Amino acid sequence: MKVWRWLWLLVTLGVLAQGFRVALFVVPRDAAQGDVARVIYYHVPSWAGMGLFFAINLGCSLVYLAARNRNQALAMKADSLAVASAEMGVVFCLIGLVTGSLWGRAVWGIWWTWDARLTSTLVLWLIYVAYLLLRRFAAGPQMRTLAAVMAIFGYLDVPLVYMSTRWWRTQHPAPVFGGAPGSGLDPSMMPAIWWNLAGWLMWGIFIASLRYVSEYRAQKAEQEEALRALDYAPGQAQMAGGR
Amino acid sequence: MGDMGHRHLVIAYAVTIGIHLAYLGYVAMKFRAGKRAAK
Repeated sequence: MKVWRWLWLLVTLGVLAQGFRVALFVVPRDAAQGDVARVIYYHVPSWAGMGLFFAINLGCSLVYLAARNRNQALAMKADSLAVASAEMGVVFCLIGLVTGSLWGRAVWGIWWTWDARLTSTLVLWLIYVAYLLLRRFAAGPQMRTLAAVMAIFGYLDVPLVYMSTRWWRTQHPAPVFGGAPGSGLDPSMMPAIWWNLAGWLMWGIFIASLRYVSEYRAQKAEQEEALRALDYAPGQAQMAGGR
Repeated sequence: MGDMGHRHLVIAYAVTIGIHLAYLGYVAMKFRAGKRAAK
């Protein structure tokens, strides 16, 4: 692993440790919910991570579709980053769903409710799981194109998830950011959000960069193997013809 | 809320860290396999 990656990891772990400390021991207890409200300091960064990585996936899918016939090297890079960001987004989305469910059980008394925010988020998670399954099990050159198209359609659910608490009456609380005046968190709690937001996004970037490298290497090896097979094939054909 | 709230808080933090570490393990495995294949 390169030196800058180790440095990035070191700083990330420092920020995450600070985020953990601030979330649990520095910011005040929520007056109404008590300590369980501290779940939000891991819950909100998970959604931010999901939004960021699904947006990267969308961008890379568009680049892949635009470049696949003109610039194969760029297309391969874009496709590799699309896989890495989709996986990272799915991980963040899963954590958001699980931490939200745990908070809901403590505060609402139920693990799950089929309100607009929760349902649209579950659908989003399933869409990207399906995207990854398509990439894992479909074969042939059309798979990457299909996956890129699927990613573009899948991303349509992201604004729906974001706006669901604004457009419909949901059981989910009002937005932390950009909600109605007076809604959201008390300013004394914001440091825990900022530290954890920075820490988990840095963590996501670190992991996604590792995953990108491994995917790019795998795709390159696959391409080289295909080219070798093409080189080998005419020889085989000659041998077959000579018999 | 009391103890129940605390329990859910601890589980939520543990699950978050656990899922991230599990995915890190998967990515590290892929990274090493790719490195070995590239040599």
